[in-house]
Amino acid sequence: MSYRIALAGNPNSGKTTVFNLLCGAREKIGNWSGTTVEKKQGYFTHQNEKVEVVDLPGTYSLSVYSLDERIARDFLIKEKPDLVVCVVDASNLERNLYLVIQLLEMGQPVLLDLNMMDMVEKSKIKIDTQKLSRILGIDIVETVASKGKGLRELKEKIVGNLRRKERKIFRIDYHSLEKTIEEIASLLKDKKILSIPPRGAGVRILEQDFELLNKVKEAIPQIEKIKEKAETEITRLIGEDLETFIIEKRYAFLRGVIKECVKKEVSLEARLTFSDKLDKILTNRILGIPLFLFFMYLLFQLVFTLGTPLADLVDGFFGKLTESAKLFFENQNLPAWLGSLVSDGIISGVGSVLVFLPNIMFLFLGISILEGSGYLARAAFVMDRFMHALGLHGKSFIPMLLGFGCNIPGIMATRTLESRKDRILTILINPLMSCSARLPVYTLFASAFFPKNQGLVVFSLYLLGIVLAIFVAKVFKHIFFKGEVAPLVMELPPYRIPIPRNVLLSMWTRSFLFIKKAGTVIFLAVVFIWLLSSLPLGAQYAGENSLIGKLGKILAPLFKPAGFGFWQVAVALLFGILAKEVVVGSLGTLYGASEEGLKEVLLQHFSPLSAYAFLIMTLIYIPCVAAIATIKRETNWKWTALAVSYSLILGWGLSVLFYQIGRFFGG
Amino acid sequence: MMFLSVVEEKRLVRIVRIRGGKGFISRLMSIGIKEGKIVKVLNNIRGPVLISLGNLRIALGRGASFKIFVEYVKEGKNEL
Repeated sequence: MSYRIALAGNPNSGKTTVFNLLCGAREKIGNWSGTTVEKKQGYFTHQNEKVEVVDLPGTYSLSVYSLDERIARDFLIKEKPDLVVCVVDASNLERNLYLVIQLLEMGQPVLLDLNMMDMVEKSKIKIDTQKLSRILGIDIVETVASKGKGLRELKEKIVGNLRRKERKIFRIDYHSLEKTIEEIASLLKDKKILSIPPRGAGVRILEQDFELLNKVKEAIPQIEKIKEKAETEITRLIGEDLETFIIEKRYAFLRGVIKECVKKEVSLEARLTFSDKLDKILTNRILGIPLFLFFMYLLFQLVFTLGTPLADLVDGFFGKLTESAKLFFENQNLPAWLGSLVSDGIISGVGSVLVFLPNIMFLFLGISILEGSGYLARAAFVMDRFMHALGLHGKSFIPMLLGFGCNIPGIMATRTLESRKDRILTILINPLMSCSARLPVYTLFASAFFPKNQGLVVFSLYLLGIVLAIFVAKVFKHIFFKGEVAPLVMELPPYRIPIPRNVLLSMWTRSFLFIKKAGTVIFLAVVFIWLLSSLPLGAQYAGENSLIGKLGKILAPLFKPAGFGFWQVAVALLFGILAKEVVVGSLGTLYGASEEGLKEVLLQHFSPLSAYAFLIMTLIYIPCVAAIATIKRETNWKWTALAVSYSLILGWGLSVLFYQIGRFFGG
Repeated sequence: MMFLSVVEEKRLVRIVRIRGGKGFISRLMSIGIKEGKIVKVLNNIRGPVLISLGNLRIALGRGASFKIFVEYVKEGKNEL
């Protein structure tokens, strides 16, 4: 028999770390709330029991405010896993247990995982787990998931709990509301329309769970009356609304539990003091933003000063490979077209993209460190005032920052935003964040045309993307999303020194996607481009009379006003929609050259002015196919069409404007 | 009584009232911020504030800190 369990808990309590540990998986871990925005599945086997594990996004309670929380809640309530393992940050017990008791009220079988026990021990807090287990009526496991401690016992208890059938009933005393709750519960019991315990359902209905209320309204029409009566009575007696009253009672219960089970020896943790001291500087009113910019600058320096020498090595390797492939095919008397396909097409095309792997690995290393340290959430806080000016709030900043790695996780991360308006707006401007796929294009042109100021030129493009995002956000906000911004409320995790294993893992997983993309999408694209360049038979390879030459010639005039009206460039931009790296890959294929050779060819075609205009175009025009698909999935066709069309118009308009102004001033 | 947004750094304040929609108020409650709670302002960058509540550090944006009314608590009287 196989079982299904769910990992639930507050944001940033370490669910994914536990998940990876249980299933031997490699999901991304970050030190900020909202790293996991989708449910993820894995498996493990223990004592011959096969257990499916679902890792849920973090949630504070069963009342939902944002999309990722809804995913968690719906799974817990509707799918009814065989067991919920509640992963709890043991150093913040009171608030973390809130979700646990809500689940218990709903009749969910729960196993409590007190995670981060090392932090508790360090801060000299003593938790009486036996007593806690007795009060809540559930089993407790202590773990330090980040160090792999407690895994055995966790598996043991999971299987033990799954095999056990009877459970203790959990209830909280709601004082003045008890009569009403029992009344509703007995009505529900008679009708048998819900799969959750009647008492738990009654409490949920009273605390304004409208979904549940609508479900039972038809069968029990008097339920609304009962609820209204209770509402007026509570307001008269206590001066609070029902929802507040119920939440208060739960907290009162928890306070009692904490008093019983938790002994503090020292009131302030050293870790927090250290964290607060850092925050004094990093989130300082005056220093906060300059420091953030400084870190970003440092990141780009890291990407280029360390990445570029390695990239040159890779380039040398592919250059040699092209040569020896050519020789090999000539010596073996194989058909010339095959040699051309392999050396001009595949090796030049895929190679010219893979050259940038070192740069991209360093970029992902930087982002992983930012995520793991806890600084990411601070950046959102520091940027809140600035983001407010755009009509967005600080939380929208995290998706934008992630967009520098890749727009797709950036767009996905908008799920943590509570208001739909904020979400759509943040999605629309996300493609303006220069993702790592655009880096190869920037680097190639910057090193060819601005060898002395490579870092600066690339930095300027990233900055331009941000400035445009501000501008576009303002305009769209004005046209489509008038009204107030949902207020920012966000928990800041304590700073942690990122765990090297997690950082490297996260860097590797993301870099591997890049390699995979080079092996699939980009590979197919360059083969296709090579094919179009070689046909019709007899035409010169990648010449004006090849199919691709003809196609390019139709498009090229469009780009003339921007200073790069060559058909090769038009083709590169067209295929760049598949994936932005293809811009470089197809230039490599069309000019049949590796990176060094490509630079020389480009120097003949472009001036520094038109090169920069081309980079502006590459930055802005049309999100890649994968990003378009993600936007569609997260919004609808209307917004997707807007995202595609505005970026195309803006990109073209701006590169033309830049080129024409530059020429006017004699550039 | 004053807005949380104008409290100086290092001051202890008690939350007196929270304005705003039900969603906003229960969102705050689910994190642990509610009327009667005492919080310390760690950082105020003219609007957005960073507060501590026990072991928690919570960032409140400009829109949020203008919706929370607080009063001063004498230093030292309430430990955090």
